[in-house]
Amino acid sequence: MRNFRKKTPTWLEAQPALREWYGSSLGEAVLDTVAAKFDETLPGIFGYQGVQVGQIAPQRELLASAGLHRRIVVDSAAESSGSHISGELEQLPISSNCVNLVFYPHSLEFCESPHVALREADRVLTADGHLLLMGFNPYSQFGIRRAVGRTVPWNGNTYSRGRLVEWLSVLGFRVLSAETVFLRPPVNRQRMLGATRHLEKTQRLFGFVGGVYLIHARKQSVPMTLARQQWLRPRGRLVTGAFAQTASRTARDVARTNINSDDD
Amino acid sequence: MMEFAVKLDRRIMDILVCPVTKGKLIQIGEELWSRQAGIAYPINNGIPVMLESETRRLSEDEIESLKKR
Repeated sequence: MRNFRKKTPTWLEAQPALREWYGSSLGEAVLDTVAAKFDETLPGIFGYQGVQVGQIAPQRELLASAGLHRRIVVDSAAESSGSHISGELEQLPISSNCVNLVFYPHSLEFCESPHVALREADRVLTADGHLLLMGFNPYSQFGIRRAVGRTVPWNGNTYSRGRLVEWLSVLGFRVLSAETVFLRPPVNRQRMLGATRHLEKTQRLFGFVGGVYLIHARKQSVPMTLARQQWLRPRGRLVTGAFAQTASRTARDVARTNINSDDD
Repeated sequence: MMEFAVKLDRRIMDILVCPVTKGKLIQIGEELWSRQAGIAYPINNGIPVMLESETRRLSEDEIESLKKR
């Protein structure tokens, strides 16, 4: 859902505010739910290196359960050296085809052109690489909260799950799962969040109106040589009563026919 | 001063490219130089800052010296 009324900050401007919001009670509760979901799905992912674009929670390692050798963080203002790079979302400073996992937390919401950001993810991912998207679901209580909020994270452009799945399929991704989690109301009160904890149990019933969407897609790659099905290959024509001659003649065949014609 | 600059981790350098041209980068002192784009990205406390706003234009002489390498 595009945000026409409010001024959306750029991705670089939104990062510090997002980090601050994820330190609040509601932010912590959302992180808990997302981390629990990731603990279920990420152990199936293996690879050499993964990139997280945007450090929403420096104290938390959301990708810790993935079987990655190295995690690189691209952020507006990186803090520790070694695996941090300061960079921009729409121009990732990472070479093509070298990353096994890309994680975009709220990245598309504060992005001028989300298509460019997705194409960047597609560029840096290796064949069969994983892409994880996380953001607020516009068709949920978070979407309603967004209508009255004027600060980060409520002033971003939210995109529905269906729309993102469509974009991903256009880019050639195979969407493995697209679900929404967090059914509690978006209220920044510890007591309220604690009291409504039981709502999470209705996930199976009301899973489609969860406040936060998590999309897991995989980059599809076409094998270098397209092998045709065996039964589709053209075969030699059947000739009755004689062996079919091959179309090409060897030097010996040519010589033999020449001798025969000389005899005549 | 230039000689004492800490080399960036080789594993980071392997995947790092110029965000504008996607070309190779060369570390010179506390900067990463992109020859195709003709700009230099700073390194702050061991963190490469690949933001266009932080860049410095390379002079003609500096680009010439890169070609000799």
